[in-house]
Formats: sequence, structure tokens, C-alpha cells
Amino acid sequence: MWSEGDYRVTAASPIFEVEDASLAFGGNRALDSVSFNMVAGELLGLIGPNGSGKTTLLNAVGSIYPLSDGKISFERQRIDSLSMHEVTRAGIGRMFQAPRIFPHMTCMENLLAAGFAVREDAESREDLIHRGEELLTSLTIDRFRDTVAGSMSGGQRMLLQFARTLMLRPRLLLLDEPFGGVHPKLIEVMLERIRTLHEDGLTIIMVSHDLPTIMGLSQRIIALANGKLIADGTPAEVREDPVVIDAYLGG
Amino acid sequence: MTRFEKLAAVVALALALVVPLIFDSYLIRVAATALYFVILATSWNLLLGFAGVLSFAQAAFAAVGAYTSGLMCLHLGTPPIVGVICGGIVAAAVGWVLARMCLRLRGPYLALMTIGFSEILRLVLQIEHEFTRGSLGLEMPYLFPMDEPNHALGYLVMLALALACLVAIYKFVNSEAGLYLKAIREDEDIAQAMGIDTVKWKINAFVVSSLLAGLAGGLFAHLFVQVIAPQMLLLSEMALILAATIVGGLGTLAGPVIGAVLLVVGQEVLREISPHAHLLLFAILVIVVMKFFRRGFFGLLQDRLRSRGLLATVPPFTKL
Repeated sequence: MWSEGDYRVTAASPIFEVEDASLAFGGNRALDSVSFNMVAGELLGLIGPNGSGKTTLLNAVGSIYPLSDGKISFERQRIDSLSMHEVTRAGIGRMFQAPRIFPHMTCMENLLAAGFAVREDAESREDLIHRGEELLTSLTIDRFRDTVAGSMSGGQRMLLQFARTLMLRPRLLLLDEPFGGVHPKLIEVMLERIRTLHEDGLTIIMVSHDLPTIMGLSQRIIALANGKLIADGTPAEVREDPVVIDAYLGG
Repeated sequence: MTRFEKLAAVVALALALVVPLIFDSYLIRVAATALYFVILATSWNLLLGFAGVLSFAQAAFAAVGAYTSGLMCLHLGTPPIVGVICGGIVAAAVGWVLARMCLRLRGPYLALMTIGFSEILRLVLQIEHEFTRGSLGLEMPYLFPMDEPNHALGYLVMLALALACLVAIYKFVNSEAGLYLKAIREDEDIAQAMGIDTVKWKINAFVVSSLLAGLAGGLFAHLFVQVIAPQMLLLSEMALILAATIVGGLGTLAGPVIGAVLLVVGQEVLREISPHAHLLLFAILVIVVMKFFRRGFFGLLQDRLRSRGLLATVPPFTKL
């Protein structure tokens, strides 16, 4: 059975490596030689002004866009040439900026589709349903278990999307603006959950425009501007970095 | 299933079983034609209604089944029942090849490719008349070694296949496969990001769908058509399958059944006015349904029955 403790990893060597990742759309370099590493259990905040390449970087990790150059590895396996579903099965779970749930399916169907797709043979349908119910309860949306997802509010869909991503039991969690359009009370629920996952040793990359939240949550921040990595350090260091201030304020 | 759903299924089956007892040979044939289209519409619904894949090749797969069997009887002298089974297998195999080639494409490109396949096959069957007998028609010996075709018996065989097809599709969509197909229909990119091998599952759905169409094509041809011609691949045949599914209710199990029965009966009634009047009816019905109630007749009915608690609201596969 699944338990919160399963994420705990002791190795200190990097489990996620991005090396000289570049991605060009025509002449526009959306990512320009971005490199960074993460050790297991790290919570990394990814910030940058609009159009700086944050979502593009997550898309490259998830194989939605193929890299033009460079490489990305997870747990010592190259993942940049895998297809989208293989990346997910390799242990990387992605939450999208817009809550793209499956609208004509019930919440439980949404969760099971993801759960079944990546399940290990030992896990039965009943196990998956139990796990789904636990997730819905912990995110306070258990009353919608058999509701068609398209009839839920934007914030509730975001929570469902979060639950669906956790159904994948990721070892690296990518969160793209997880609080966008979510009611403050529900944000608190999500934050609580993210903290718990982090304490249990899950490796997380989070993109957010909400600087106070992301600075408070992360131990480390990297900043992008025009597709380039311009800062990498603790929240305090990045906050004081003149290059970052210039990128945000100077446009 | 709720008690009401079970009752409705039993009543429908009882009505279907009464048909050969009370109708004459002509009406039994009409009813068997309805069953033939029930199978084609139900299997096509697996593609568009569940996986969101628009294919125009369903009539073509029925033809693959029928021609495989007919040609085997003519050239190899195999018994029709063996031919029907081989026809299903060949249709599934051709479905697999076509799916491998075009299911990486999406939307209109995929649809165009299936139209192309269907038309090419029709022309080949027509032109290669030395082998296929072209427009002269290919004779289909009766399924059973009897002197006279027995329509009541033929009807019961079609009914058995239709039931088997409905049960198979029910099992398929109420399993993890059903979840994957629906997820693909809803949002293919996200389905993939959730770890679903979307191409593989679309191919699986295509193969199951082609297999059922191939079996139906062969069986119906041996029992009721006697002489088949490349006309069975005309897009007007496909129009009936498409209209029946949409008018009945896409993505539901009962929808294509209701639609196929309704439209085949409508076609027979309108035949007295003009041989092509039914196409006009189909077109109007499809437009009205798409404009005013997209979920079809069964969709309308579903809302009423659900609000009275007569239909299951929780998908059985997600229940503990």
C-alpha cells in the first residue's frame, strides 16, 4: 500500500539534471542553455516575468516540446527523447496552469484514468479507488466523488487536477501556477498538502507569480528571463539579486 | 445496473425475440437489417463516442468481412461459417494496419484518411472484377447448408451477434480501457500527460471496432444479401451508421441501438416515396440533433430517467 513515507530518499546525488537545455521556436529562443540540478527532496521555486520560459521549461521536461539542444535526466535516465506518457511513467507528474480536467468524466474516473495508466501490477482497482478517495478527502472535495468534473468551479477543478497528478505517485512533481484562480481558503488546503509532500521527501518544482508564497515555501529559487537562467540561490539571495530586480522591473 | 435498466434490457430482448414469431419474411428481413446496423453503429460508437476518433471506414470494414468470406467461398470452397470468422479476423488485421498508419494523425486528417481508404477499397473491388466479380456482384452462399434461406433463423443469428457485440462493448468501456478512451476523447494531450499510451489505446479500439464490423458484414451477407457488390462501401451506407449513432446518442450504449432501429425503419417507410428519400431524413435528423440536443434521443431520455433515479448515476467501474 501507498503511504506518505514512500517519497523519502536518502541519496544526496542529483536526481534531476538539466544540462544546456535549449528550445527554439523558429528564430525565437524560448530556452537558452538552461542548466541546473536538483537533489532528492528539494522544493525548487521557478520564477520569472511573463514569457521568460517557465512553462516552456516544464513543457520540455514533460516532453511536450522536444529540446532543440541539451539534455534532461531523471534518476540517471535520459528523459528528453521519451514521449509524454513515458515521462509520466518514469515518475514525473505535471500539474497544468489551466485546470485541464476530463470534463465529462466523474472525479473518480478522472483519478482512476491516471491511476490505472501508471499503476504497478500489485495495485488492484479497489486499492486505486481507496487511494483516490483519500486524496479527495484530504483536498476537501470528497463530496464531488461521483460528480461530473465539468460541473465543478474553477478552484475545485484545480484541486481535482492536483489530486489527479498525485494519483500518478510522482517522484518529481511539477506545479505550474497551482494557485491561479483558486479561492484563498482552498489555496491554504493545497499549500498544506504541498508542505506535507515536501516534508515526506518529494522533489518539487513550482512555478508561481505569487512571489511571497513561493519565496516562503521554497528553499531554493531559480529565475528565468528571456529563456536564460539569471539567478539560482536561496530566496533571500535571489530577492536581493540586482539582475532579477532588473528583469522584473526593467521589463 | 439498476432494476429499471435490467428490466428495460429484458423487455427489449423479449421484443426482439418475438419478431420472428409475429412478422412475415419481409419484415423479419427489415428487423435483421436493423440488427446489422445496430452492430455497425455500436462498434463505430466505440470510436467516435468513446475515443473521439472520427472514422468513415466502418462500412468498409463490414465489406472487408463480407468480401473475405465470399471470396474464400468462391475461390477456396471454404464453408461460409469459416469464411465469416476469417472475415472478422481479416477486418481486424486491416483495421490494425490502417490504425497504425493514421492514428498518429488527429481530427480532420484522420477522417480524410479513412474516407480515402474506403474509396480506394471500393474502386479496387470494382476494377478487379476478374477476381472479385466487380459490379456483377459476388455470390454469397447461404450460411447453413439448406436449400431455402430461413429468415427467422437468420434473424436469430444476427440477434445473437448483436447481443454479443453489446456485451463486449459494455465490458470494454466499463474497464480501464473505457477510462483511457474517454480520457483521450476529452483531452488527448492531457491523457498522454497522465501516462496513457494514447496511440496504443486508439489502435486497440480501432481493432475491436473493425473486428465487430467485419463479423457483422460477413454474417449479414451470407444470411440476407446473397449477392454483394462494391456499392456496400458507398458513403451513403456510412451515412446510416453515422446518423444512427448521432441521432440515438453518441457515447452511450443504448443510443446507437435506438438510432439504428429508428433509422432502418424510417428508411423502409420512406422507400415507397423515393429510393433516396431516407438520406434527406438522416441529414435533417442529424442537423436537428446536433443543433438542439447533442446527446441524441437517448441523451434526452437519460436526463429524465436519471432525475427519477431510474438510471445508475455512478459509473459501475468506479464503485467499490
